[in-house]
Amino acid sequence: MKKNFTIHIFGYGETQYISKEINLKTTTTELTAVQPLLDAIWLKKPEDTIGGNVYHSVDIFNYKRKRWAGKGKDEASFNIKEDDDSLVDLINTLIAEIKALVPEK
Amino acid sequence: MANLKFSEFTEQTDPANVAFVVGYDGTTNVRIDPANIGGGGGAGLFEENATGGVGSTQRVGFAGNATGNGSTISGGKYNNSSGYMSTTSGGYNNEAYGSITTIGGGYSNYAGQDSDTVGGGYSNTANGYRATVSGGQNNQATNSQTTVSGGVYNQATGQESTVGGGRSNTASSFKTFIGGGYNNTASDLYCTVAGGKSNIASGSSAFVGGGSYNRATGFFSNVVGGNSNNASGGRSFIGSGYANTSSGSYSSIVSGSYNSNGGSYSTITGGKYNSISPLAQYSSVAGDRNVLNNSKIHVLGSNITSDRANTTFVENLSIKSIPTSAAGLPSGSVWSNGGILNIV
Repeated sequence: MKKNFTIHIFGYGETQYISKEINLKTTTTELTAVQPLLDAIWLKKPEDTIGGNVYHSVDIFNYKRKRWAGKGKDEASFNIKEDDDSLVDLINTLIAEIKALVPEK
Repeated sequence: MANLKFSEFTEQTDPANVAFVVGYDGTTNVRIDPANIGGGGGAGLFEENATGGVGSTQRVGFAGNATGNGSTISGGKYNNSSGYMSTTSGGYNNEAYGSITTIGGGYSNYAGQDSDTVGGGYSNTANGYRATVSGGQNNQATNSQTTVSGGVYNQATGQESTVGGGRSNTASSFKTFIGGGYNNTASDLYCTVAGGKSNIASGSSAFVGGGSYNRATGFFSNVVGGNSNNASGGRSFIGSGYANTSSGSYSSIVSGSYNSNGGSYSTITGGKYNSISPLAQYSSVAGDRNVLNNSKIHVLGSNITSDRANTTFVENLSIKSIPTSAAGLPSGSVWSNGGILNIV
């Protein structure tokens, strides 16, 4: 079954999770699962990637696509398109942490 | 060598009516049975169920996969239409992943969720319900009914948000809008940044027109232009200038620099280093380095510090025209009696 969601980790300090059921944005510092995921994505950057790791945004689409957009020309930008099981757990951990912030109806 | 030119044709649309398709291999004219195009084994120019999707269609496109039921790939190379009824018209390495998604062309674009559309461009992503990226590069429309028209690294992530163009702009909340510019952010409900550079509209319904490094953080706050201005009070306003802060509700600063207005319903019309404290409600000042600490006061001049409420403070008052008799003047009026100031 296809998973339809997007996660944006914005460089200006907010993280947003978008799915059909939930659309939630919160300050990134509230989420402990963000930094481990960022670290893991950074480690999977293509070998020819140049530049620093300061980001404008890091975006995850439906598990299978990740995009690191550098903040300015001196920072690295790259895409990871493959399904990667090693990132799924980290993504799910972040999603669970975000869902826990959603007020009960 | 035989004559290699051929230029007159009768067009056919059904491979069944064609005995051979002709071409040129760099040395001589060649021909091929249409049934052998597309890898042979019965694959044709226009092949139903090309790669497994029920009712899918894949035209001459090279190395694509129309795997979604009812999906279509019209051309291009390395395209994928894996969503139900998805369409990739052309381009290279595009993927129509969600149901009823469309990619017109371009390179490495992705339409991930229901009814998303990417017109073209490079590495654009539409991954919300009915989201659209028209073109440009590395743009993202990732929430329902979002739109990025063009530009580079723009993001429309709040529901029904829009980024027109520019670079590295982010509209991340409900019904937000960024027209263009660079590195602008509209991050709370109904915010707008028209353009400029590194502006932030983060209060509900806040507005930044342009300029640079301006912030409209109060609800319904406005910064028209200038740079490094901050309208943090609810319904506050800064017209232009530099490094002004309007933190009182309904406070305003027209222009100038390094002015600070914390007084509700108070106004700084211009000048420099003027300060209205939160105690100075309903007050106004023009000049420089004035300090207003009392309510309902007005200051015209420089280096004046208020010390009582309901007062107008001036510096070196010069009356250019003054009545010379009290006749007809209302109570409280001033007039000159041979050079001596009188009050009615």
